[in-house]
Amino acid sequence: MSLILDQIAITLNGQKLLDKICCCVAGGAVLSVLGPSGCGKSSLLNLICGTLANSFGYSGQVILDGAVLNNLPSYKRQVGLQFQDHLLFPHMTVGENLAFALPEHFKKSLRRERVEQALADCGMSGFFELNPAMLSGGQKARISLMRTLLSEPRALLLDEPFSKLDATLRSSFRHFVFQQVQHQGIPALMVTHDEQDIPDQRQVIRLQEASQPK
Amino acid sequence: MPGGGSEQINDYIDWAAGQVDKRYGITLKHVKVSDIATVVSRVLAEKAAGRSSNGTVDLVWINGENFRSMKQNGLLFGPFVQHLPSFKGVDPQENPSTVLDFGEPVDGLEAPWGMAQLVFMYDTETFSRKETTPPANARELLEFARKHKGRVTYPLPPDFVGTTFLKQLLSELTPEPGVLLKPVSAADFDAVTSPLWRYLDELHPLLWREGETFPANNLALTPMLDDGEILLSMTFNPSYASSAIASGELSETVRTYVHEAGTLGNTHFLAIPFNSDATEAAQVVINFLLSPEAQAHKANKDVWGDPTVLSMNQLNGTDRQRFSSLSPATLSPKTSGKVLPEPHSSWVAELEDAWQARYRQ
Amino acid sequence: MSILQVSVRAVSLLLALGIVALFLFPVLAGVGSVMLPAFGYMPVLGFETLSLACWQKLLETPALIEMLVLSLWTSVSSTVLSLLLAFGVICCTWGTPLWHKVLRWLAPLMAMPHVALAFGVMFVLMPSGLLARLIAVFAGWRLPPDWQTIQDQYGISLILILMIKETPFLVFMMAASVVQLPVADTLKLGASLGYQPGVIWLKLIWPRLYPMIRLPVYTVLAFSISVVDVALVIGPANPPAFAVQIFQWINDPDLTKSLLAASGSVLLLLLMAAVIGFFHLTQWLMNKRLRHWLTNGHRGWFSTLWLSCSTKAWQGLLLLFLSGGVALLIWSFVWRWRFPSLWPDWSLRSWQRAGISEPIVNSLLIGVTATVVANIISVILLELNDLQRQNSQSAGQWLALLIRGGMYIPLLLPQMTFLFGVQLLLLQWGAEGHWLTVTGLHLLFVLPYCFLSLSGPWQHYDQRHSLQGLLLSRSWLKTFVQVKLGILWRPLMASLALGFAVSIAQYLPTLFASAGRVATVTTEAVSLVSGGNRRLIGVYGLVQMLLPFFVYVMASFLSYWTIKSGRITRRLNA
Repeated sequence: MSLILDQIAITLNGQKLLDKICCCVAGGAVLSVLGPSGCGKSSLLNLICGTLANSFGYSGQVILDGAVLNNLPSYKRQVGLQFQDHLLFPHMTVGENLAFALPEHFKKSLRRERVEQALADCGMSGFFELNPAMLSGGQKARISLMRTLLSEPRALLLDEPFSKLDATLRSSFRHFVFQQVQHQGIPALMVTHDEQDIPDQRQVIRLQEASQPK
Repeated sequence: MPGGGSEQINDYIDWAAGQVDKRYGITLKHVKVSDIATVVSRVLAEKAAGRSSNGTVDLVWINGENFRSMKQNGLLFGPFVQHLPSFKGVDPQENPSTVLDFGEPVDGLEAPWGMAQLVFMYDTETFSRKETTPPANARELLEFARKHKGRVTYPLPPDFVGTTFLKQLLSELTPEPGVLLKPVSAADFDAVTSPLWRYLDELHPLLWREGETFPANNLALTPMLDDGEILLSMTFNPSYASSAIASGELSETVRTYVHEAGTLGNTHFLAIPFNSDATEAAQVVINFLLSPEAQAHKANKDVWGDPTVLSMNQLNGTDRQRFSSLSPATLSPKTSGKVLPEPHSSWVAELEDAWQARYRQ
Repeated sequence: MSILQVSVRAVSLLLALGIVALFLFPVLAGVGSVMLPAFGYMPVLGFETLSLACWQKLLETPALIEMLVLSLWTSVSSTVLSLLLAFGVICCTWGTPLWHKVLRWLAPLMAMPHVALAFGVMFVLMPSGLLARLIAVFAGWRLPPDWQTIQDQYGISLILILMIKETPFLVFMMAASVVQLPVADTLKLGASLGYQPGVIWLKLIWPRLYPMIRLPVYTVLAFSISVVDVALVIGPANPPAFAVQIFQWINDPDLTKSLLAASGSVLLLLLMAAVIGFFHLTQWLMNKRLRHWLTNGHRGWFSTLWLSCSTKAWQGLLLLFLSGGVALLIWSFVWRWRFPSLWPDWSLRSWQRAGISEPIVNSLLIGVTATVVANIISVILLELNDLQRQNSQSAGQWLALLIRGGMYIPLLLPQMTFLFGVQLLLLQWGAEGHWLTVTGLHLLFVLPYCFLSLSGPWQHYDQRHSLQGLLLSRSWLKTFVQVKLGILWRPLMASLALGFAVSIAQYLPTLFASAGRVATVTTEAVSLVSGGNRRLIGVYGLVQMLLPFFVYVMASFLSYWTIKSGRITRRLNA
């Protein structure tokens, strides 16, 4: 399993935002993209998801498991996305949030079981019927990640996943995320502006405001 | 009373207002109401509130049920009609509906103003392709509807003309039309009306929209007649066809006809509410409206075309001259046939209720 | 100092409550005054004992059940269909360039009086209408077909009109609510979980959007269940919808029918309560029953199909609306135009003889007065509310909720019910028939719409602007006029245009308050329906459409441009 970015360049209104990004992320590894805000990190994620707005232009290829994603609609890409504010659906319970992500092939009888297992995996057994608004920040973050993983993505994108958490929670959740990525064996790409978040210094792309990769 | 071509009526009343102002210095302010019943209930409310003078209405245009309602509740000024000089032109012998309003004796409480008669209309141009003469009675109308399925209808009762059409059929079909002139309580309603219901049961499936729905009123028939959606129309104003032709609503080939045995007709009146402060002025205005000059102007089809209540034999030569030309679309007094008296007004509600009970889907 | 503050707070609270109470008085008094006649007590007519006799008579009305079912069916189905359509429009235009186009068209669309709309559509769809004439060319018809394309038994043409009328309103309300939801991120997240866009809107956004627009949906229900004017134009006639039947009873020369009308309008109120209860129950049941569907993992197959269907339906409605306008324009200049001719003989006669100047003057006088007064009251209420909010956040919220609730009451009650009651009161007080009375009754509908449209902008206003203005100018009045009203100028102009459009469209309030003596474009237009004169209908329908449109154009001109030292210049914050 691998995610390959091949000669990616993004322009906005004719101006270069990102230029010639080339990299390969293997299954279970995390590639960090580091840079100040406004340097085009989010655009890169949107490009991989297939949600880049029309005003942007781009060139290059996104290749996942050997297949080019460029022309697939976003809902067919099987790329999981994790937001900084975890965006749990307020009209569903915690369990329903997870069940929502389960693929259709899980039969009705199995769905509840699988969700309970996922809750147990993140140490939140017994939270099924709870309203997501009652959760703490750390719990929300974990449920949100579990939800993404339950949808069986072939790659994971993390958009500033730790920025809204306070310092103590941050390290434990960081650990939890990287552990899960390794466990699932899928490639992950993390956008952040905090050096401390980086798990592996060998896999870093540093962007600057001038849009020149180092 | 709502009449056809309100535009012409308003023009006529404007003219009359100008005349009484010029001659007698009386200001006649025309208040248009969508339904005269609201005026009746207003005067009634004023009476209930104890306002026996300084009423807001000085002159009303009414007849039938509304007159009965006002008379019974003591809401009318008078009797005053006999004292009006112009009333000499009216001949109650020749025209009994000028003193008997839908079976209710007028008793001098309202002055006759104009006449109405149920008449039918057809377009000779669309007709000549299909038919030579229009139906002359209820039976022929049924045959006509059978031949031209979906091309005949009538206004939805309780619309005024729709209900009059029912009364017309009833007076043609019932064996004893005489009982209709007495209050409905004095008659065996079911026995008297059963021929009508038998007739309508047969007629309705042949009608426009298979008799499931009806146009809101007689004016709504006009554009339908014009487009050929229906072949016969009806109205309560004998000169309606002429004014509709003049306003471009109907083709010049449209003609008016009546059933051979005659059709229902009535008179509409002017009355003064009991609490009016201007009863003198009101009587002057009514007297003017009843004068040969004003009546002739009203009967002119280019003005309004409302038939006069005056009898030609009561008028002198010059006054008779005023009532002359009529357009070809309107029936002349000779061909308009007999005017049948309206059934007693108590029949209206009963007929309407019975109709609704049977023919509301 | 603190005593002074408390008293200001108390006075402003009392003032706000007083205005709301004054506003609600006619509504509640109307409902109240209809109750006694509904149970046979109407001393004016000589009925001085309470009895159930008129209920007995009401229940014996021929085809009562059919009329009630018809009212239910047309109101519920038109509301549900408009809701679906409006949601479809939101789904497929959100985030696309079309979104702004739709939003720009909404205001003029909502400003269209529904009666004019009904006339236009009638001219297109009737058996001798534009559509049938076009077909006749090919089919060789000489006479119009005996088809029930308008005033059909099932009320389909009525539902169609109600949909054209209500969909823009619901799109407007949804657009105002949907911006408060994280739609963009939800769409991204849903897609990353493998869901198709249509399903994301249904499963993730709709359940959160609907509770936000529930009250507007109920006002749509209340409107369509008690609508009389449109139903008279294009609704079934035999039997008519129940509200129309009540209207006919009120106008019956037999004055005792008023009692029947009174009990009928109480029945209509009950019907309305039942329908709202039904909607509430359905929502609750769906919440319970559809939880499994929400989480069954089904990601959608045809989501793009229903999205494109609703776009097509929306375009279809717009096309019908436009061709209706064209039909009105044609008919207003017709001299003779018999079926199946495609080309009429033209004439200016209808315009010359329509006598439309008095109704136009009345409509403008009433509309402008009602709108200006409504906006002044709205601003006063909003300012009083802001004052409360500055003192205590929770007190401000409570007051806002209370005022908002009060404003919704006349929109949620069937017009027929309380207006009939108001008419009875006006009759007793001898107050009907004056244009000021008509204006007052219009306020019951204009004020809520103005208030609701202004409350959003007022809430989002950054109070620091006023604080800064106050510090610099040291004048409360100067700050309010030059800073706050200056910043909120555009919503204020939009509210003026909306209020005028609401006033123009009012039929029952005008008729009941004027006792037929103050003719407006709308009352004249509706009374023309029964007159059957299509040329005059064309004139009145067109004028009725154009009046609010001109006011809309003027208001948007004023919101972009201003006169400075004798020259027209562009406003800065436009």
